[in-house]
Amino acid sequence: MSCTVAAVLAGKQALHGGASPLALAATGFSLVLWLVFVVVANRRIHALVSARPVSMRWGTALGAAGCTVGLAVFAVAVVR
Amino acid sequence: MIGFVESLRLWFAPARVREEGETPDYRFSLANERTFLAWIRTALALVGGGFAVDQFLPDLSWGWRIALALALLVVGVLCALRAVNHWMRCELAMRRGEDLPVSRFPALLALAVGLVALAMVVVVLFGWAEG
Repeated sequence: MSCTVAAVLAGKQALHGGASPLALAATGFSLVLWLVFVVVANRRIHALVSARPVSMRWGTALGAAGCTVGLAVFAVAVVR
Repeated sequence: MIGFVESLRLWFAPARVREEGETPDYRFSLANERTFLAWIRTALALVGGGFAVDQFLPDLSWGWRIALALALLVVGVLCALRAVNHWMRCELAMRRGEDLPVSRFPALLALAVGLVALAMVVVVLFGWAEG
C-alpha cells in the first residue's frame, strides 16, 4: 500500500504539466516500478504458504529496495 | 560482526551467505524479513513524503520546497539500501551464531526526520512562502 501511494503520487507529479509524450512515458515508468514491486511481493507471499518457508532470496530483497530507490530517483528527476 | 568491506562484498556475491554457518530457525529468518519490510515501508513513506512536499506545498518558496523534498528523497534511498544491507548482515550473524549487528542508522534517521520536521515548522511559522 505504501508503494501504491508513492506510485500514485509519482504518476500525479508526472502528469501535472499535461499529458505530453514525456509525461506519459514518466507515468508508465512509475507504473512499471509499481508492477514489479507487486509481482515481487506476490511471489514472496506464495512462497510463504508452505509450513516451513525458506528465508527470503537476495533478489526479492533487492527487487523491493530497487523499486523504492527507482521511485525516489524518478522523484528527483521530475521535482520542480 | 562483519565489517564494511565484507558487507560490500556480500552485495555482489549474496550466495556466500548461505555457505556460512547453519540455517537458523525459520521463525528468526521471518522476523528478520519483517524488520526488512518495516524499513522498506519507512523508505516508501519518506519517498512519498518527498513527492507530497513538492506537490502539496505550492506556496512554499522554490528553494525550501526543493530542499525539503530532496532531503526526504535522499533519506528514503538510504533507508531502502540500508534495509537490504541490515537484513543480509542479520541473516549472516544468525547463521554464524554471532550477536546481531548494531547500527547508528536509526538514530541518524530520527535526527534527519526531526530536522526536516523542524524546518517545516519554521517555514510555516515565519511564512517563508512565495506571494
